[in-house]
Amino acid sequence: MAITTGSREQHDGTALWDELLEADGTPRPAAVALVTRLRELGFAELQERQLRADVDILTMGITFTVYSDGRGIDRAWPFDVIPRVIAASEWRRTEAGLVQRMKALNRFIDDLYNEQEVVHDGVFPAELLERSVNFRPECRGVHPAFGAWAHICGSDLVRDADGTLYVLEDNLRVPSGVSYVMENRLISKRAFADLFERQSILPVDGYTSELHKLLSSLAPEPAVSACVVVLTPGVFNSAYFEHSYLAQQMGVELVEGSDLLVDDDRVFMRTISGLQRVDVIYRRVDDVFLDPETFRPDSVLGVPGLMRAWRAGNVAIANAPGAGVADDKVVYAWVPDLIRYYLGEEPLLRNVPTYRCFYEDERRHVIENIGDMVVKPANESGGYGLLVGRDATAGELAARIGAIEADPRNWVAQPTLDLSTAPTICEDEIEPRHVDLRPFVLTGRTSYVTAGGLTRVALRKGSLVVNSSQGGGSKDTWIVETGFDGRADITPVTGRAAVSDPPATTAVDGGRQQQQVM
Amino acid sequence: MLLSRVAGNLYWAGRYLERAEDTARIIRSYSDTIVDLPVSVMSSWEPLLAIAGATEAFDEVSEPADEASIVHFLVAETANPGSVLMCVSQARENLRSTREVLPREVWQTLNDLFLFAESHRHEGVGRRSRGRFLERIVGESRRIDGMVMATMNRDAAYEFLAVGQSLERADMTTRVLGVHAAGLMAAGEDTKTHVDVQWMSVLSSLSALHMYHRSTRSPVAGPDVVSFLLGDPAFPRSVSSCLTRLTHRLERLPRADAVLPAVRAVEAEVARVDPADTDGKTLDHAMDGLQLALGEVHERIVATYLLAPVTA
Repeated sequence: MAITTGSREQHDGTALWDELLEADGTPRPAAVALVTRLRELGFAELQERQLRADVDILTMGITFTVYSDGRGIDRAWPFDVIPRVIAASEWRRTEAGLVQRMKALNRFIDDLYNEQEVVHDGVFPAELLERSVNFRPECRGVHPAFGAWAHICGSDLVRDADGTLYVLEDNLRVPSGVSYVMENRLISKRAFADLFERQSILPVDGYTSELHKLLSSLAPEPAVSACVVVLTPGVFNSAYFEHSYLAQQMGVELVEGSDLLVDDDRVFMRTISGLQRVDVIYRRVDDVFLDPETFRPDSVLGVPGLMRAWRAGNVAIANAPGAGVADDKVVYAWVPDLIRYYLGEEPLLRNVPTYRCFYEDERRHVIENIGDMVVKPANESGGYGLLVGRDATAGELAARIGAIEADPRNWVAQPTLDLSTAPTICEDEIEPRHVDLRPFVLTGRTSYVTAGGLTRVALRKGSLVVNSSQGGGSKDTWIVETGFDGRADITPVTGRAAVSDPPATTAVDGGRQQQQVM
Repeated sequence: MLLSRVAGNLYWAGRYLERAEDTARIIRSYSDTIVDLPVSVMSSWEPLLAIAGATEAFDEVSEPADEASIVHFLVAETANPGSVLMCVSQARENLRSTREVLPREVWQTLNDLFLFAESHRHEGVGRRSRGRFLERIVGESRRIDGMVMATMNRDAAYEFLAVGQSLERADMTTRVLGVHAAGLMAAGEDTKTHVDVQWMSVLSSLSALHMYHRSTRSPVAGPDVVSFLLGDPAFPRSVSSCLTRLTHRLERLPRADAVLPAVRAVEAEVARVDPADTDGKTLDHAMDGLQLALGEVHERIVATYLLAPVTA
């Protein structure tokens, strides 16, 4: 049953990076307490705790919606009870890098919709801007508060075999997943209550009040209490659970487009007491559906006149319309340059080397090496259209090369990273599975980063796709304070055995032997 | 603060859930009674269609008006928006997007009820299984109501659920009186032998039999039954009680002055009915009047709270 690091190998035979274990199987410093505990508990007990967690998820109604036969179906949120651990010292550097990145991206968006100095100065190619499908001319000349456009961002981080963290992409439109960060923590606290008592794991539940503060601060006119609403496309959206969760946690209304109306360039919601003025909209509806007067005329999710009200400065919208111009996977390749250009700083977080099929030499490199590349469409999210070269058939590769040649602007490619793994409870044993991390960054007058974020795990063996819409699950993410020696600070447990959970194995299995799990 | 859309969903959910329960109860009681009586006295299932207000809708599907078709139409027909199945389904659709204002287990129980009604709908038609099926519908509706009563905040969301429920319940009671009771009063001398059984059926279709005896301390008699179901303040399903509850719920909502006069108009209509001095035809006519007056209350609620104003 013991899992050796030998089973975690990348294609050339060298070891993958495991988030909890060193190459020789000893726990990483921040994970000592956790791994020790896991080994004490044994697989049967961990399975038991996994089962209890699954039941919790069902009864708490934590769901996401998948689409099948045109019907939305609520599925329980797949969760692996073994957390992923990151040392607080590493996290502080990552946090600083994320804040830096969002500052630069917000400056970039503000610049694109106003002076476009980045283009005039030759840093960002004019032809790319002209061909960007997410650039919204309707947003030209608008100055949102604090110069912030992408107020809420979810950036995806991955770790390569050598342990380096990379930013894989930035989601600046309507990133989702933050509600699961908080729900995962609730469940993991139940599963490992003793570890939370004995070491310092940074809390995650400050997010909703930070979000509420940020949104309130965007109100066009300073008010005692700004009227904030969450705008959802409705109950059939895959992230509806999260929309509802965030509205509830902030104590604000969850509205649909038909609940709002614009009169005299001001936004109101329809309530049983009459119309009530709305100051700030946290929208979870894509740009093109926001306002049928401006964008898609067939949209029933939006609010006619909303863009007028926003341009007139009578309502704040987060994220601002047009913010998606900067999460284009082509723009991604320029982010390090943008950080240097706007902030005069070196990027603290690394970008994955990105080949832009837009340039002939880079395109040739991609096509010649397509078997080692991950090829992505520039404007899709959710992992759709992503091709992992080494898993693809010859036919799929040829088809993708054809698609690249037909529309080079729409494609970027990156070398295949050997995504790190984390021990995960599988059918018969604990096995390594690939993980990524989506922290959430708030940007307004000040910045805030979630402590950790959503660790997504590819539950299928060998799979690199972590999206919940495609068979991914999630784990709780522990940011653990470590002492001077780098080891997790652990309070000794002398005399406290009575309060910690005894392993249930003996009771359940009638004395079956404890198993070495990892 | 309550969005008009959410208020509307709750109001309709309250109405549909009550309608599902009431329809189930009426079919159950009618089925129990009809088997007890000689064919010469009571043989037609068509009054059930009249009580449900579904006579015309049924005629459109052009089935023979026999027991199986009528009960199927009222219990399980998906093309009939008033069938028990569709009422449960519509209550569920209305609450689906308003889950955040309800205690969690309310939605879960309603969802389970729908899944049961959908998968077992055929049991609601056959005579042998019908009773158990309808019993479950009534019982689960009572359970949901109990959860709401015991665990839901008394905020505007609750008020709309209760307003929908009270209005629907008042309406159902007038329908039972207008069709079933009026039919009995109009019946000729030759059917009088079994009249007590049928008055008891009227009461039990509203779960009122036992409470009637406790309240009146007298044997079942037509005018007393009408008086009890219309005006007894002690019985929660009487039209008067429903109206009192409606008034109390509305008084806690903003802008209730736009709706309350319509409720008072219904109360005035109720007061005008004199059960001791009424024949079947007059009673039927009076109940039609009450239903119109209740319809006006509905219109006022929609106009005041639920309709979307187009401009500020």
